[in-house]
Amino acid sequence: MRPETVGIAGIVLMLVFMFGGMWVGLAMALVGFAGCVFLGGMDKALLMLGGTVYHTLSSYTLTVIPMFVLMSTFIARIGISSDLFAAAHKWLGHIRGGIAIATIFACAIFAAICGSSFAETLAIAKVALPEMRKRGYSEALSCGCVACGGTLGILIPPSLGFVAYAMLTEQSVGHLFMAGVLPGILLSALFIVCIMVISYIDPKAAPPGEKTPFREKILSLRLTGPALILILLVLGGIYVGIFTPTEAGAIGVCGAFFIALVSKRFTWQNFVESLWDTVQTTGSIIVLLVGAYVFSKFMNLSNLPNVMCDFIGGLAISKYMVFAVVVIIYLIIGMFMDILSAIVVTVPIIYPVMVSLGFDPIWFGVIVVLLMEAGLVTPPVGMNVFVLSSSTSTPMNTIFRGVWPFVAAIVLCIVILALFPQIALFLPSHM
Amino acid sequence: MEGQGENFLDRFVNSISWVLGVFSTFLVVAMACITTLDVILRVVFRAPLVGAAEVCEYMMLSLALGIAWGALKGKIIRVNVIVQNLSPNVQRILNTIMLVLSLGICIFIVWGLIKDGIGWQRMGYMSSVLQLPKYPFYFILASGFGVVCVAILDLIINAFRGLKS
Repeated sequence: MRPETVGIAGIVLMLVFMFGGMWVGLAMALVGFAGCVFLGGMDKALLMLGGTVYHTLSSYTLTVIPMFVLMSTFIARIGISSDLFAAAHKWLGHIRGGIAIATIFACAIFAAICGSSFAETLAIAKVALPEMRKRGYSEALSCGCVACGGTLGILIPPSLGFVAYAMLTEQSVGHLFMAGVLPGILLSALFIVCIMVISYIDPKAAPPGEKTPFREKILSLRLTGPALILILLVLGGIYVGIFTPTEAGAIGVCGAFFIALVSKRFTWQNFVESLWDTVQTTGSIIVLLVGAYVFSKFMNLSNLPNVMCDFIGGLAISKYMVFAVVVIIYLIIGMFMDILSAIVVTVPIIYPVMVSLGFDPIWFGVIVVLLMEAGLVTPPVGMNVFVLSSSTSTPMNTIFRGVWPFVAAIVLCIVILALFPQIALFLPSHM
Repeated sequence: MEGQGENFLDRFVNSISWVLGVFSTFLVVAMACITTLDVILRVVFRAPLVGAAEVCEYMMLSLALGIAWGALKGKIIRVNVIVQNLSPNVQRILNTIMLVLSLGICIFIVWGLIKDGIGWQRMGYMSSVLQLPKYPFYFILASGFGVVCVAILDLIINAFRGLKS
């Protein structure tokens, strides 16, 4: 059997195991190992397995994962999200759709200190949804904006999606983080436009609230202080080059700890639970990355990525046609898998093809994360929708009904980025 | 896994994974402290902590000891979209097959790590900055996946007994 055929059979088998309910990382590792045994023999495969597992985990860059997970879980527990929402509410609550817009503002700023969309969705939902319900906002719009606003957590740095992509493609985490900033702002703006259009078409969906006196508005700005300090500390430090993204994670953890102590919000229970959550989440990511690396070795051994590159390069079609097909594939995959699994499963196969077609790897990383954002809120497996539904007891159908306008905004953002890649590449090129 | 249906293996797996998980939380705190200290010493005093990156790398490896704890708490990433629509009996059978396959690959990972570790021990390889031997960390990593093997074995036994889906 030709190695490429073994590669294709491996992909099919991996999908069977994965959709059969096997742990995603172990499904990839199993197929990767079995493929290497088939192509190279048991001894070589065993040597590859041990070496790959060790070298995947003995990377200093990988320490960014527990650090940013700890920072995100800790920040989500100390109430910074409610401060951000309260401040945004005071400034925007009086306009039509104002609380929903304030929610997006709070999500965007919170995303800059929190790398997990689930943590962000939970934290913002707790404060924003009751307020929108009290003001008579439509359930679909309220839930749609919280679920989609939460997805900004994986686009605006720090982002675990970018870390996984960087690890698998050997790109700079710092460059990817910076590449996510402007698209994150663009997407937030598109979400806000979306809310304004909805509230213009259906004024009952988002009625205006009471106006807040100017003095109160100014005073509310101090609530944003802790978040802004952390953003400056973490992202500023990376951009200026004082420390690496890996170190920024640890600095962020200490910064969040200090803020919690100063603002008297520190509790041992919050701290210990954040640590436990971090270890458990890191364990699951470790398994996923180990599987992805073993599977990548098998893909390289089968020569499938090269054959695919040659095949697609030989087709007489525009590279943007290939890009459109990749976008559709990712949108479909994102509907069935969570973001990290989708990235680790697809990147080893699709990334070499896109790079060989001349697409910028950093720009493509932003596109992949954007596509996965859409996947987080689209049926049947919209993980953010599950999180929101289970935490607020809102029917999933209601949330899915509310997310479609925002998904359209994500797709529009992808189109804009495809037309103007410099939006994503501007900040990394100035580092 | 708590309650009346708990057997010796359940208790053993729960205890060992909890102990290793708590040990891993200390490692996370230590990683954050060491890295922050390194940055402060480098930026403020221009005297970085020698070998900080190496120590963090080894701590990262040791975090694998916490994998089993996360797995038992249901933190492992799976795709349930198809399986959850099947009948409970088919789900149980499929789950058992997938667990057996998972156990198989985990055993191979442990075997590969031990084999590699023995090779590095014979070569006497040391880390470049702190001159720490490399091979013990192969065995630590193998222990982490070893506990995962025991945890999966426990899940398989319980699946056979029909105690859990």
